[in-house]
Amino acid sequence: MSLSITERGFVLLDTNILIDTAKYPEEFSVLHSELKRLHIHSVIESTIRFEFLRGLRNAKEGEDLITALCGNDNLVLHPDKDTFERALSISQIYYRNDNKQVKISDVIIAAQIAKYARATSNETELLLATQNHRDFPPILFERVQDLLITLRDGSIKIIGFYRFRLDNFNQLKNK
Amino acid sequence: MSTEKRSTYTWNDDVLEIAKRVGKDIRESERIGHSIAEE
Repeated sequence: MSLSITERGFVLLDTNILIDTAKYPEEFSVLHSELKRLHIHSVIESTIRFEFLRGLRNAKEGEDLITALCGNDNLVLHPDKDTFERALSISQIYYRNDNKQVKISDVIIAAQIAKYARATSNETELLLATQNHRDFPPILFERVQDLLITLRDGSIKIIGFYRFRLDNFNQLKNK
Repeated sequence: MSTEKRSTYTWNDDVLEIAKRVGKDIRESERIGHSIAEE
């Protein structure tokens, strides 16, 4: 299976992608090879970096893997005041739609995706790659493609690529 | 976000070895009860 998402863009790798890349490196090389083929740059967020590294006894090797995936420039997004303002707006939209279970880290990730969202799909944008299909709801996220990865035991990992719905966000944030 | 910051990533044997070592670390951490939150 190959990806058909917009070339030369950016993809934010969620924590579960980093973890499974380490646990199933041969299988998940399919994902990273596809991103490379499409000239898509992998990016992480400092919350994701924290979630990934905190469980490792050897954080240095975890850092090495992040560098290998995201390049020596280490494209790491850091939240700022505006990120938390957007995160608050996103949380309020979720609450008004009876979605009150989303974790703070997922809302911050959503706010970072929102920052680099574009009004049309033709522009360079930041997509989210995740296996968490519950906490990026359709009201604000469009699932543009799935990549299926079959593990050796026959189980299937489903990686979803999500685009932030900027128009919906702009309409809903001030209601 | 600058488009000039290109990834230098290549999925070669070195990266595979790093990933395998981190994966072993994760599995051992999970086994001794320090599991990473997995969605």
